[in-house]
Amino acid sequence: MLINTAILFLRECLPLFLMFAYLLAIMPKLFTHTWLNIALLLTCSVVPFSFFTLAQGISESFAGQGAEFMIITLLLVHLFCFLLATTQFVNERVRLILVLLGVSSFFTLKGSSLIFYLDIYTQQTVNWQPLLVGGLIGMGICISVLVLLRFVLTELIAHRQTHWVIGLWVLFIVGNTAEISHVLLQINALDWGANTFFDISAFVDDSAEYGYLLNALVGFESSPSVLFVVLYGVCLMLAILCLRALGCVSNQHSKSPVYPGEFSTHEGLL
Amino acid sequence: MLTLNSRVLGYVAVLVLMSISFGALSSEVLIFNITLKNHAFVPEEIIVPRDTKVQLVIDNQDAEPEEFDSFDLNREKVIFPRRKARLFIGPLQPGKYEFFGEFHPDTARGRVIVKEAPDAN
Repeated sequence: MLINTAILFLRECLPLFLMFAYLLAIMPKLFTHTWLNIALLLTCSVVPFSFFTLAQGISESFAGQGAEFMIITLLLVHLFCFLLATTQFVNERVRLILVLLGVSSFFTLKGSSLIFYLDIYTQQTVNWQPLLVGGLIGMGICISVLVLLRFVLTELIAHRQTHWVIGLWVLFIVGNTAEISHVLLQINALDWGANTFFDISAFVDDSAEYGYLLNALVGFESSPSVLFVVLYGVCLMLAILCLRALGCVSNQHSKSPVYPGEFSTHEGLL
Repeated sequence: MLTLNSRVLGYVAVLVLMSISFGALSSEVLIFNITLKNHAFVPEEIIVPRDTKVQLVIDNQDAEPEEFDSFDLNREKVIFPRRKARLFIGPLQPGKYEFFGEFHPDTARGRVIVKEAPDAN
C-alpha cells in the first residue's frame, strides 16, 4: 500500500509540480499578487473536489463518454490559457486570469484521480501510516524535481537562454495536450490513427520512474499512436505560430532587458 | 519565398496527410466483457487477433470505484461501482499488453494477448 501510494502521488502530482516550476521561473511576479495566491489555493482545492463529487454524473453523460469530453475540454483550456499567458499580447491582469484558469484545469485533471484513491483508501482502512508515508515520499520526490527544474530554468533565463526555457515550457504544454489522442481513441471518436507509430518500449519503460518523468516533462511515450504523434506535431506547430504571431517573451538578443530594470535570476520573463 | 508561417502550415498539412495514410484500419470491432469483482479482473487474460479494434466492456461489481489503467494500451478510465464502462483498444501488434486497477494494483491485474492467428476467445 505504501509503494502504491508513493507511485500514485508521483504519477499524478509530478506534472503539477513541473507546471509550478515553469510558472515560478517564467512568471515569478504573478505570484506576488496575494489575491492570485488565494484564488489559486481556493480553485485548486474546490474545483477538483467538485469534479470528484460530480464525477459519476459527468461520466454517465453523453452515452458514458462524459468524462472523456471533460478531459478534452480541460486539456484544451490548459493549452489555450498557458500559451496565451506566455505571449506579450495580453496585459498582466489578463495573464493572471489565464494562469488561474490554466492551473485550475490542470489541477482538476490530475488531482481527481488522487482524490478517488484517497476516498477509497480511507473507506477501506483505518491505518493511515502507509498513506502518510507513501504520500510524503511521493511529494518529496516531486518537490525535489520542482526545485531542480526551477534552478535550471532560472539559470537559463539569467544567461539569456530563454529560447530553451520557452521551448521546454511549450513541450510540456503540448505533451499534456497530446493526451487528447488517447481519449479520442478510447471512445472511438476517430476511425484512424490508432496504429502504433513506433515502439521503443524495450528501451524506455513507460511504467518506470524515469518513464513518468519523461512523460511529465515532454509527454514522451515509448509506443505512441499515429494520432498522438500527429496531435503532438500539430499542437507544437500551432504553439510556435501563436508565439511568433502574438510575440513571445525573450531576453535573449536584447542588450537591455525586455522589461525595465536589471535582469536577475529571480525576475523571470513576465 | 515562403514565410516561416507558410512553411510551418505546410509541415502541418504534410503531417496530417501522412497520418491519414498510416492511420487507416479495419472497421471490424470485437467486443470482450471483463468483470471486476473483489478487486480482480475476470477473466484475467483475453486473447485478441492482431490489427483489430476491440471494445472492452468492464463491469464493476464491487462497491468502490476502480480505475482501469494500462501503460501498454495508453488507456485510463474510472469505473464507478455497479456500473459498466466501455473503452476501445487496438489495433494492436502481436504481444502482451498489461492492464491493472490503479486503486488496487496488487489484485486487479490482467493482460491482453494479441495473436497472429484470428482465433480470439
